[in-house]
Amino acid sequence: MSRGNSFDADQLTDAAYYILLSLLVPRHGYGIMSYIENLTAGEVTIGPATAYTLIKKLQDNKCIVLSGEEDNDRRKTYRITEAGQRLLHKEIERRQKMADHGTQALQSAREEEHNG
Amino acid sequence: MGKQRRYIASGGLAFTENRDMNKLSRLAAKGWLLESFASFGYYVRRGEPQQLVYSVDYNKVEHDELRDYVELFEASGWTKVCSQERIHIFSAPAGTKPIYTDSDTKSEKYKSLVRLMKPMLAVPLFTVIMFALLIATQSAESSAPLAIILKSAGILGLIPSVPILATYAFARIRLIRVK
Repeated sequence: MSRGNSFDADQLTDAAYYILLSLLVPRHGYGIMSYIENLTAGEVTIGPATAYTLIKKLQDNKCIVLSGEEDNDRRKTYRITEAGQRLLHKEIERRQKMADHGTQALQSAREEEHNG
Repeated sequence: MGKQRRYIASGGLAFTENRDMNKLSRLAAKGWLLESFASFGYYVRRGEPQQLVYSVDYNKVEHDELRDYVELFEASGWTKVCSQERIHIFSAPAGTKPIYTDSDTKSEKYKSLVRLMKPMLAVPLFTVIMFALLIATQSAESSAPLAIILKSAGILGLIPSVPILATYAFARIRLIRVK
């Protein structure tokens, strides 16, 4: 079932990015959310409805799959696919570049002010 | 003693979602807790006053996904109170972070509402067809009983059609606003 998808295959929203990071290792819903909370020291929280919607979307886009490993309580676990990993690497690079651009721009703005 | 259960009218979730959720919060603070959906509204029952916040999600959740869906919410502090088809109402202690934390997925919620409404568009469509047939049969030589049937069907169809069309329009407007 298509979700009327405006999912850009080249980019991820922040929330989708974090969910994908959490699924480098097979996890289930609750595990995903606590992993993200730990990883970001509580700075990033993803709402349950957002998480549920994104998990569906990422599945539709073949970035994640059902892991098939059932945990003790038979919860659905998911894990990242190869396609998902490729997208993730691209995203990490893109975001790193963005941060570098930011630092550069700040630096040159400071220099301009200094010289001006 | 006094009654244990009250009926609370809703303006229709598509129109008055925020107002309804705020009203339910105020009622909870007075000790009237949401119990279930009712026709065009909700039932609340007497309980301990609590500082609660309520949220609606529109989401088609398959039977085998329901437990995981609910657990995701519970992990964030949200308890499912009641459901009606795709509409789910959750409650949480006041101050709990919202169920949607990004605008992309929030618009998916309203897309879901629009999808929910679509089959109901059959009613206004039916009404329009009845009126069209009525006009068509009146211009030809027609039997009075047929004209009466078509007219009645058309008028009966009009009654739910107006709110259905209004709700559908509102759902689409919300969707546009959220994007």
